[in-house]
Amino acid sequence: MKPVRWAVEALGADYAQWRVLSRVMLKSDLRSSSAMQMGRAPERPGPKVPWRIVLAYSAYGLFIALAAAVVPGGYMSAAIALLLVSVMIALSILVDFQSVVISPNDYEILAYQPVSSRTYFLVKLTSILLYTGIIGALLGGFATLVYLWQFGFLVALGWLVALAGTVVWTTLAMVFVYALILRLVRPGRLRRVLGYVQLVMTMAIFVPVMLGDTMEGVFLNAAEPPLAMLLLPSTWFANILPLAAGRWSPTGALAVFTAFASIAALFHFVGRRLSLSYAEQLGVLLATSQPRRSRTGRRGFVTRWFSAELRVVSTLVRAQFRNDMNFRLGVLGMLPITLLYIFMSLDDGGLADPFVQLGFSARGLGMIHFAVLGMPLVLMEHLFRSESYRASWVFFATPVDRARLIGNVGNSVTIFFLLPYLAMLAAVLVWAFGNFWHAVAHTVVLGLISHLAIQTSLMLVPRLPFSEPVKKGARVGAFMGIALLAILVAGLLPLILWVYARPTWTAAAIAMLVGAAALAPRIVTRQIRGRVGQLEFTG
Amino acid sequence: MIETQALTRYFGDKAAVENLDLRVEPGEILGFLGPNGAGKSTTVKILTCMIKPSRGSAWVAGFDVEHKPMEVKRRLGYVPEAGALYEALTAREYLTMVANLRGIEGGYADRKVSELLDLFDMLDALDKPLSEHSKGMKQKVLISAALMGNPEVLFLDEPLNGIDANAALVVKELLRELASQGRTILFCSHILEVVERICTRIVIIDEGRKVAEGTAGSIAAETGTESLEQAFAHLTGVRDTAEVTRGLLSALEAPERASEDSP
Repeated sequence: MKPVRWAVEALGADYAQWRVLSRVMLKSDLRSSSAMQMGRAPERPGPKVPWRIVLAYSAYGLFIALAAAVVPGGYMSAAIALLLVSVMIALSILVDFQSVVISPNDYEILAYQPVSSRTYFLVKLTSILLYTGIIGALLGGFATLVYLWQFGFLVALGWLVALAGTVVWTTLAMVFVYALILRLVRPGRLRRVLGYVQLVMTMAIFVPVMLGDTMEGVFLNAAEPPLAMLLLPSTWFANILPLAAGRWSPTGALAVFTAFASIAALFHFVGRRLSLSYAEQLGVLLATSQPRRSRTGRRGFVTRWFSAELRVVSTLVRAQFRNDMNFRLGVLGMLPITLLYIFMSLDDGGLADPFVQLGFSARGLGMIHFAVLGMPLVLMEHLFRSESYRASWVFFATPVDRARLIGNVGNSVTIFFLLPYLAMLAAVLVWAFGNFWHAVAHTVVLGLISHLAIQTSLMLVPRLPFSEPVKKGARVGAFMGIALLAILVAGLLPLILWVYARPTWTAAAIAMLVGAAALAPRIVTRQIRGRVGQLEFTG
Repeated sequence: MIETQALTRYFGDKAAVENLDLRVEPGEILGFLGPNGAGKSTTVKILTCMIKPSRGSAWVAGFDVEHKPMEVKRRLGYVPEAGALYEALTAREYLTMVANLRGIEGGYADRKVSELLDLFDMLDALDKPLSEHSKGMKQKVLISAALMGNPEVLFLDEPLNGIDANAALVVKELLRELASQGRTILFCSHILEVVERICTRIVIIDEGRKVAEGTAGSIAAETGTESLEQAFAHLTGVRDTAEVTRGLLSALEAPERASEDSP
């Protein structure tokens, strides 16, 4: 009996069904992720590789390889590289692949077929392990070459085993948490609870990164790696490398044993205990998917002053946030990342007041600049993709001014996301600078630049809200692309801050930015009008 | 055979189905009627083992849906109302998947797929992704999928939705033929003429409860009306149609917004 067949059947699943469904899921995902783009239906049903996503993860893989090359010692460098891999895997599941685990769509198609819950669950698990396996290979592939070059074949092989173990462990741990929630939470509250869990989990996976500098200081200066490091699961797997190099120690052997024992335990919990209730809960989630009643009174007062198009976009964005789990989780997932950047800025020698320390001296603000520029752009990516993209027919079949509608997507992001975001940032800056007006002025400059960045992105790629299908992997891929762009802009910002040298320059710069920000939506609407007419409904 | 006893399903505090007793014998086509939100789809979802009842019992083909769901699923065919499909797959791939899931494999599965789609004149569209199919074509694929496992019991939730007149004739004739072979069919539809023509018996539910049962004639007679349509309106408390029409016409008088750049 083939080992895969044996493993599938040992887990209580039907091998033939598992094989058919796993192929179908993969085909379905590859085709929908690459071919279904705006104005273009799939030309032929062959699977296509989403190259942009592959490149984005590979770029991060190069960064991990670089980290592995510069950190001395195989164990320490592997611990840090595996930590980065596990954070990225967890983030990918949270942002892009949670639908593989919790989406009820497959259940709707398969629930009445004679497929057991165990088989169905194993198909889901195979599917997500395949994605995380590919992502893990892209993230850790380059580092393999580093270990091969630095330590030889056996350590490189040890790295590959550690990498595979970390990917499987992280995936199972994430699925375990989701499955546990599906079991414990009442269906009526499931969507809301999942939103909060997303928030907490994103925070949790960033904790090791937040503590990175502290850990680095402690670990790199210590003669022996402290035992406290073993609290991080990635270090259990990193212990494989010294073993592969022939440096045996009882602690290392115990850590490696713990690593594989914990995978087996997670598999047991995930596969045996939760599969039945998991499938049933998905069915109930599907049956209770009616949206909650909306409260209109207070918002009606706010939106009364908006243009018709802005009102349409605002209503849509808020309703999608309430009812579209993907969108909600995507938006909520950004909050912890922002907090992380603020934390890292504060951790990096404190925040210098850019009115006191001019230009590059104020580069400690870089992370905050990055957050203010990058996060609204990431949100824009969430705004164009939705599971309910077919509902966008309404923008094509009604006499709406589509150019103005798209222009107002940017205004909506500025009003409902950027402004509250800036208010929070201003509070942090007032505290850090100790000067209220400096903090407010800098926040205004950042806000205006961010607003212009949003409008520019709309001008470059005009898209209707929630009109494109969700692509697996696209959000983290887009996030990394946008991150590179935002790093470039944030890197240039200290140059701009020379205008803070004189109050008249500052006032003139702010006046220019205000003028540009006020004109931008009109310019964007005019610029995109011709191209928007070419857009076609993809549903 | 389909049987339910005091079948109840709650969503939160609201009962979608309450104390529903049904019995459909082999060879029968039961028309299962009710206004939107009456509990028809919830009942069908329980009977197809997609969700569990909160209370009561249900049996399909002699098996308890709660305790023997796999036995039930092996014997049923289902055309869901929502019409969910993997749209990135072709019709051939989707039907082959369904065949494989039901243990039909290899050349026999290929033959079955071709035969079923040939009946609906869809052989030309066999290798096109389902996302490029019209609503009616997708419905034909779903009906073919429901027939794939040679089911003892068929659940059809608005099966004629979107399909052309010729295909609808084929489906109606097919259902009669399947019933005459001793299969049990539960047919949900809002098209009362079709229900009246092909169903041997009718059950009407409203707000999760059964409000009438019998033939079209007996239900009309019991309610003192002249047709199934009038009986349905009477039993499910529809408002005066003339009044509703007047309301709709007055709503149309709202000012229109001028188009600015419709392409």
